[in-house]
Amino acid sequence: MIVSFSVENFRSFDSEATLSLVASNRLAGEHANHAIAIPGTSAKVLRTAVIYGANGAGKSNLFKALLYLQSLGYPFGRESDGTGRDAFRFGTRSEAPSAFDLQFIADQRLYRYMIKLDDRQVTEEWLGETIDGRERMIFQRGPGRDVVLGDQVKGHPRLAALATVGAAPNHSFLRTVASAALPLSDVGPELVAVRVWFWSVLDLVSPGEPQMSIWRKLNEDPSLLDFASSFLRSSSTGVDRLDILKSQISSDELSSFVGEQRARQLIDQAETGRPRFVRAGRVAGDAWIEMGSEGYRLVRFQSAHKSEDGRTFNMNLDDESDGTRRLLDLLPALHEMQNRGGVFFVDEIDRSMHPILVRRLLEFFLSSCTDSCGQLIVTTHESNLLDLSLLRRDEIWFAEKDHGQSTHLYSLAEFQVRKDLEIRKHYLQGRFGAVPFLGSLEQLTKGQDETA
Amino acid sequence: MTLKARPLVRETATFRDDRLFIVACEDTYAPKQYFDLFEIPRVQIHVVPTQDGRSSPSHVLERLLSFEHAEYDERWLLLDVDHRGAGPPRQRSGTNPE
Repeated sequence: MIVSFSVENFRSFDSEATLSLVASNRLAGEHANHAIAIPGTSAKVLRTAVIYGANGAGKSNLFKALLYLQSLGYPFGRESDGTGRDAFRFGTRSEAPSAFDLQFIADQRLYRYMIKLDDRQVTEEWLGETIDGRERMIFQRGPGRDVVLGDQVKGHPRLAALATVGAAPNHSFLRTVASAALPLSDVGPELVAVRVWFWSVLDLVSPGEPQMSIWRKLNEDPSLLDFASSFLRSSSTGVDRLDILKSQISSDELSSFVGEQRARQLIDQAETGRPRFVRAGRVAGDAWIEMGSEGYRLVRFQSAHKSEDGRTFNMNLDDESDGTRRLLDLLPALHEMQNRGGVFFVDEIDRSMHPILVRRLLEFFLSSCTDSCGQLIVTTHESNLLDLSLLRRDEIWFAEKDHGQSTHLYSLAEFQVRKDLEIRKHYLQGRFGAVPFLGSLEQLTKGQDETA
Repeated sequence: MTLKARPLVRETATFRDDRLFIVACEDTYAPKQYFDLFEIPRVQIHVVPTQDGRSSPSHVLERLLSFEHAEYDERWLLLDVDHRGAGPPRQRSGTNPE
């Protein structure tokens, strides 16, 4: 779970902004089941955060900051690429490093990962764990390649060798470790837990098309497919169930689905024996090629609808509404929260979704999970969620830009509001900020009236 | 390398201000244009336009008092005293806004 995330000099963030999921002690009595103990401390972490802000206030940049941080550990990237960071552009610090600092719980342990980097290179990197109230370094690195290992991990010779060689200037050491693909016994449980958390537990759901991984997950996990069918049925989408239709195809037929060049690549890769799941770009609808030991199969996803007289009609999923497809984005989150507790950050959760459904999703998450449950962080404009019978004050966040175009984050817990206050009304009145300022719009309509 | 301390606490030393500043005025453009420059949503300008001679300070005050507000909000009258002559607007009993 994310405990706190700080970002500085990245996209619309100039000075440091922090999203904290630490539960406020002052609000300990409110929705007590929303807060879970942080291992080894007396503090608690919240299971949800809902972030509001006007269009262009920088909510999505917080999402992008986390997405960028996650990408820094992927085991690919060339040395000549630079760091690809996107500094704050409206100030004088565009040459200064961007900074990211994340506290998170993985495998019931509290970790902290901090990295600073400019356009060309990583200038500082630090990973540590809090044990008995003290932060203990797992590795650290200054400008340059050298990496120093902490006591917990320096007994692993192959990891020590990696640290001696160091990381490429524009790569994180996390990426270096991931690229080396050392087994658990060579890196220790800490680095494995961190790697798994970053790239399997942390799930960042963007508002675009359903993520590629959803199709693979639906194909591989029958329980997710059942859950998806039930969920779409109970969400009044008109979908009765999801079907997966599979048909065997020959290697000769492959090129008609993916193109000749791509087919040749896939046939070469198939020889390595690694299962693959790739989009069949030349077929209408959501169609995929599954490659495995049984050869090639064309996989199609369809939705089944029931007519009034009980007959079933199938549709390609890309003919479904944007709203139904948006629900597909969120399905792994809802399914996995019940099963293994991931951390899901959903940007613009209300995109293409009815307000009642957004609220139900949040209610479903907050009520259906127990201690093993995950965390759901969303950005939204959906003001119906601003209800203290649903959320705690420290779970409600606002993003607002100052006059220098820099985004600031603050929470409703920073206001002295009564428990029975109509939060939604007060937010829409502009009392908490983070609403669009419409003065200029009025000027625009006035100008139009005058020219008419 | 010095790491910034990240204590696991949410409490802040002071609270943020959520008061509205409601300003009633009779001038149609200038005050609103002026306050809009600051782009602060908590400052809300209500123009009481001149209609049938009903734009005297007492009418602006009347409108100000009719706006929905919380007990702790600030309410202001913006009057052109040059236009009206020196001195505060006549106070009506029991309706002083602040």
